[in-house]
Amino acid sequence: MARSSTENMITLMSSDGEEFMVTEKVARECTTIRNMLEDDCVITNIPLPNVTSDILSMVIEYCMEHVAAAEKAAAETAEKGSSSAPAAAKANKDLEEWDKAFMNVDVYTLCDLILAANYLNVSGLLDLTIQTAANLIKGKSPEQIRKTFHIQNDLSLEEEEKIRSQTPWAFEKSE
Amino acid sequence: MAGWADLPLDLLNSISNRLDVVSRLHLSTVCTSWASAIGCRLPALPSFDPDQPIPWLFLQVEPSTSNPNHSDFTFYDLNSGSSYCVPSPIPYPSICGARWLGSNNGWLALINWQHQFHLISPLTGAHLLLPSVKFPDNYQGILARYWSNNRAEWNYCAKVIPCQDPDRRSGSHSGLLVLALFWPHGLAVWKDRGNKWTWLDLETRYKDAIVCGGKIYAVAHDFLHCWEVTGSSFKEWDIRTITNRMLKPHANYLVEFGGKLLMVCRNKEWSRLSHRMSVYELDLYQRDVLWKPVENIMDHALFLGMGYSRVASTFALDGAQENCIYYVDDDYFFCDLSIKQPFPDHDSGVHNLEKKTYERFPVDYSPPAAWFWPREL
Repeated sequence: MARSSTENMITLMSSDGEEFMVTEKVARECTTIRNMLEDDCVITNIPLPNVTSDILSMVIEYCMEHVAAAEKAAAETAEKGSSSAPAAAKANKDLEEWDKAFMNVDVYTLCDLILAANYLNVSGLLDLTIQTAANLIKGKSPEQIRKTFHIQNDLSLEEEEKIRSQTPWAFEKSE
Repeated sequence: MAGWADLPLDLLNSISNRLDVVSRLHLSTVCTSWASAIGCRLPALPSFDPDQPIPWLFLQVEPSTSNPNHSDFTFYDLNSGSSYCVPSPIPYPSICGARWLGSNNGWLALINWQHQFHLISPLTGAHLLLPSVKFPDNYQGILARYWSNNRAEWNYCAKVIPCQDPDRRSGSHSGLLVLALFWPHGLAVWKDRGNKWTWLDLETRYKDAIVCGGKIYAVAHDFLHCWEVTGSSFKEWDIRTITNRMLKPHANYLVEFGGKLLMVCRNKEWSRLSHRMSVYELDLYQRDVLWKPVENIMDHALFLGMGYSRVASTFALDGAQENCIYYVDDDYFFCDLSIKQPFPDHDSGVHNLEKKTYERFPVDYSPPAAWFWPREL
């Protein structure tokens, strides 16, 4: 999509020193950055010491896709006077499909994305990643959850038995 | 690289808030950090001993306090005499104003205002939308005079009985077979994964139905009807006339008891608070009297109500009283949970067969209530 030359560009710097040039509009998808820009409108270079370059590039990819979708919807509304419901529904579905494909990541990346979405305060991405994690947990036994997320069981047998004994019915089928 | 075990508390809680109760309990035993994070936020659930025979009573459902799209289910535990509110991810809008039609194991059956049949499992969050009940093609029979739109709407369904499918070869996932009794008459069956209901009978008003010994039994005013189940076909197997006259006017429940079929008669004629209950056993070898009286069920308790009525053993266990019938309100006209005031004259309690006593449950609620078994028996 062509961008007007007057649009402000912001440089985001990852924890490992890589720089990412993004439009202000894309950067504003991150509420944390939006607040910084509103406090100090001349800022153009933002260091993000908590986010690595691979994760930051994914967050930017997500924000760009969602900004582009919102712009496309706004342009259609302006053109036709009102957006047609089927077209809007299709656009929503396309974006959902994109989100779904975007979430095809390993559990380590997913965890980093949750932390980054939380730190940068990208509500859509946080919602998406949290839901993805919940879907990975649903219907699994404690042992399957540990395997999925590579978690070491550091509970003693007695501790685990004590937790289970409070609601034994919840663990019957999970052995 | 971050580790999942070190996920900040608030983020772990956001994840657990989107899970059903059972998954949340599983999360709480994964590792020490998750145990301490999740454990203290779990709803106070009654402990349900695998050997404890008394199910919970399902009393009501409300929009969840934490998320209006989720539901909070209220259960009453007769053992401890206290109510529990269990948050569940079941979407409240889909069950708001629903009529509850039955229960079995952890399942509750309902029909909502959109005339959709749902099976929900509040603890696991599982949610099945059943096909709508329609007449067979070109049906011109008597039922068509009563039903508008040629389909079962919310007020035409009297009872839904979730059962275990006797024929598991059909590859059914959950092994569910659901029987539905309709007003003013009709009996239909649905098997898990099926895309439609199969009518067993369109012309008879049934009082109860059950799966027993690989067959479906249904009791009407003056006969007992039986079908054999093979895969997804149902073959009429037997019809027996009920000659015992005194059984006919009452509410009847069919219960499986160690492979035998029992019928419980509940007299609700005179007053909602006076009962006469009696238990009979099916005796297919008797020529004249199909049902023989049962005086004593010994170390067992019967649970009667909406949906599937069942027997549990009370042998060597605290909690359930032996030789007793536990019963709840299941009257068709009271099956409306939108009446929010506690109904002082609820008709639920325990009847001791030997002492001939009736004792009401010490809880106020608006009928109906349904038995809810948090675990599969």
